[in-house]
Amino acid sequence: AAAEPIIWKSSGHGPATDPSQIYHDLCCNAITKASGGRLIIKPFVGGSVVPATKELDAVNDGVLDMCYTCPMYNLDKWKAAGLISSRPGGLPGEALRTWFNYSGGAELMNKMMEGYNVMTFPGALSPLPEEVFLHSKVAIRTVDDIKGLKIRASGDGGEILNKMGASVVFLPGGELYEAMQRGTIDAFEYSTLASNWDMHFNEIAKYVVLSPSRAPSDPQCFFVNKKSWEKLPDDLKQLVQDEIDKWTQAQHEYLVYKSIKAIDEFKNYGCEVYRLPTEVETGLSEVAKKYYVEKAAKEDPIYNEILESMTNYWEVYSKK
Amino acid sequence: MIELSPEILTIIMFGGVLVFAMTGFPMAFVLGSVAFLTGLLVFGGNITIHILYTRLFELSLNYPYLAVPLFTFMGVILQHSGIAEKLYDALYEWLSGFKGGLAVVTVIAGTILAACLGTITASVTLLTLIALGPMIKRGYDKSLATGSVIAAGTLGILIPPSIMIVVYGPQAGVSVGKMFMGAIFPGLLLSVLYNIYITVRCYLNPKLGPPIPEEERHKISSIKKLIKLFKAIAPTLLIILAVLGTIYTGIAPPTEAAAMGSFAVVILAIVYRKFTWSLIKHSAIEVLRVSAFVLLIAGLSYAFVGIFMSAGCGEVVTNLIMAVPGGKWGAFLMIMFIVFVLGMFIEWIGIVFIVVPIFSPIFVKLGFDPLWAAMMICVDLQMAFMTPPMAMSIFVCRGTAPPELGVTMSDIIKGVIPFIIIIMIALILCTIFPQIITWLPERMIGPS
Amino acid sequence: MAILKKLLRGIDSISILAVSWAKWFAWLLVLVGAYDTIMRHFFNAPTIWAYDTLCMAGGVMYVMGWPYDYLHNYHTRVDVFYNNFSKRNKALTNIIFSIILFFPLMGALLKISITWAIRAWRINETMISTFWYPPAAPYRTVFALGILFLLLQGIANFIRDLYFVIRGEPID
Ligand code: NA
Ligand code: NA
Repeated sequence: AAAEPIIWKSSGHGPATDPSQIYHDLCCNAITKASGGRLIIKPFVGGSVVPATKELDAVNDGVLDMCYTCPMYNLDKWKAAGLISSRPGGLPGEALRTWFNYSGGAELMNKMMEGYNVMTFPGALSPLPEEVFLHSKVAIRTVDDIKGLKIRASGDGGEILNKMGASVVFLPGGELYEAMQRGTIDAFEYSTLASNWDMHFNEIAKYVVLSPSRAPSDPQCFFVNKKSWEKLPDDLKQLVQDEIDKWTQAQHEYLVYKSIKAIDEFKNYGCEVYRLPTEVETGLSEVAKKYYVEKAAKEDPIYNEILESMTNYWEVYSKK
Repeated sequence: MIELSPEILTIIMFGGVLVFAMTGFPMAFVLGSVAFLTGLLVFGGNITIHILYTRLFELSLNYPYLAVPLFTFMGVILQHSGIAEKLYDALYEWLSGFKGGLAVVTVIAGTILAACLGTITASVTLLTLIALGPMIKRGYDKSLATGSVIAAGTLGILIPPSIMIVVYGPQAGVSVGKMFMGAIFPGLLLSVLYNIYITVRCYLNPKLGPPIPEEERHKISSIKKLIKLFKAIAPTLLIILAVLGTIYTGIAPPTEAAAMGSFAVVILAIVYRKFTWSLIKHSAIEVLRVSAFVLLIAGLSYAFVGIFMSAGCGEVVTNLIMAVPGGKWGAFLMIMFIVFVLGMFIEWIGIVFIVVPIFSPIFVKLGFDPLWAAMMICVDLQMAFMTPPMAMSIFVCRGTAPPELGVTMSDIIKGVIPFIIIIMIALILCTIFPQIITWLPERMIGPS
Repeated sequence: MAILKKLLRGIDSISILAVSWAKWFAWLLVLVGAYDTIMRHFFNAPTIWAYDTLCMAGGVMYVMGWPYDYLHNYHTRVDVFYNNFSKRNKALTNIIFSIILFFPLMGALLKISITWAIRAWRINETMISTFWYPPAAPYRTVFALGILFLLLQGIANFIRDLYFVIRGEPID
């Protein structure tokens, strides 16, 4: 007789239309289908089971068996999570994924999460394409242009821009369009070019400043509950890993393509899309470097370990 | 843990809330416990309580919903500032001589106050205190009098600023600023329809709202009347400017605009010499009292949704709606009907938390403009405040009305029915002419 | 009986005392909200701490208000039938449904609130909306206290109702 199917719950972190949610759902359904119904993964939209961004805590407590979320949202418990995602001066897309898959990234992330009931594995991480530095009402050509600018930014990036003289404010993403339109803020960082085009940000910010320096690639990552994982037979473990690897890569490629298209669309609309001058990039990198060295001295050893591993990998990668 | 189909669970959860709510046990605990007990049955204790706790905790730290205490604050201070009384008196000078004039004054005053206040509690309380007594003492029909007070007061939560919109926007992914803009014309449309109804009925049957005889009205010149009106409206304009002006000139997003509005009413209270130590204490405790029970219902509804969705009930509701015959309009009508029925039994904030996450994606799927659809639900919810058993505006009016007026529950219910029908007419108008909702936000902000 | 009365009054006074402090957060909301807006718009100097401060101030006010509102019977009820009940039947309703709809939920919420509060102190949990990164433990603790006080107030209300049903007169 056929064994009882194993049923998993898995949640993304986004609204239904977010690419990461769409690829999360595709991945869950693909696993269900490929397993011949032996492993049924029910996909949930971000925020429907637990509050959006709190998915990993739910996986830890066995509320969910799996989730697809940003490592950064777990900065509340692991400071080092901020090194892997949304880090100014961090690794850009391909470098990040290869670091994670082949150069010990996944292992370090598991080490960071020690003591918790969650795990990840190579293939589970999907970086976004090189990010937009800022959508801005005013052109940013020199370090001085940042001074006094009202910028919406979150996380460490906000603190670093603050150190560079910006007036940093925090607003929820849904309020950005109007806050820009009415001049509550002058500039903002948010998500990635493809989704920003869908949010009509071309209408409220003339300048689209590109640079991988602010947050080179904000990744999402699949996390699995350890107990649920251990209960899977080996062939299903392999299947889950293979499918996840396939869909994270597929999402990455899709967004790379969409971003290129989005750049065209911003240009055609009349926005000025340009690369952040090296002078500013260098200035930002220096502030960021100093900031992270100082921070590493204060945090747990794992923080420094991840920072060093990534820095060393970049040394090698950037010379390839 | 028991295997139950999502269909059965949907019935258990909705049915449980409706049945237990009727016992009169506090609504918040009913919502929370139905979710808790269902979760216990289906997922076991650890999972259930994780979902409930993380959601309730998250909601207690929500930034946009700080508008609840801040709008309540504005309402409390405004109630003690004497602004509403002055407004009523000034409008009285102009309109009391007409048939149904005092009810029209009530609706106009309610509309202006609605632009200053974000909740219904303050606006219904004020209108009950100021407008109900004069109407009934002048021989107005009790049903017409209470109906107009309740309908006009309920506009307070539709016409911006509005706590309902502040809560709704983030749930549906629609901008609060756009919804504020979108609510202006539907709100004014309702106000106009209310006035037309009152005037027509009182001209057909003047016994319902007799005009105040010439000799009993103040005999002051038109110039003086005009000055009085200007003096009464000026402070309300200042408050409107402080909140909506702050939002639309880009000084601050809606939550902080509510803080600016609170700041403005405090200054007005100081100017009118109503700002006392006892008001300082009273306002603080009142804000705490109101926002605590509102946020507990909100938080436990939000917790309820977590269990509801995890159990697969969201899909059941979605499938049900998509299976309604009549294409997209059949589905739309069904949604409006569900909101109306839930509005009878559940506090509006619970409805927004429970159904908006399910309905918003359906609207998108069916190709409705999200802003328009969101506004339609908000107008639909206007009825929820007036339909018993759970009718917040009626509670407030009945609780505030001086006993010597002798208003009974059946007077009130008879009084609100015509206004409920008018809201339905307004909904039909907004469907035929969606521009009533979409024109202003498109002009002011841009396409959605 | 005297001890019981003392206990009930003790619980009431916890709810009242908590609110006599927490109510001032209402003014903090207005003042900090307006201050941050003015500083940002007119002086181009937004504060980094206002966002989290406002969220926590609101939270403290709500959770401390829950027991207070239960003491004064402010939590919204659908009262069409309830209002027509006799005093005794009201008390009876409250007793029965407290057992089904209040104590299990609150007991479970209290247990998990304490677990998460302890966890927050243990792992140095921080809030992460802004780079102010304030510690989460104090607020998690206040939240747990609010649930505890609400549960206590529920017990006090329950004892009062029980006494009334049995003796036919209020205990105090
Ligand atoms: Na209003
Ligand atoms: Na109702």
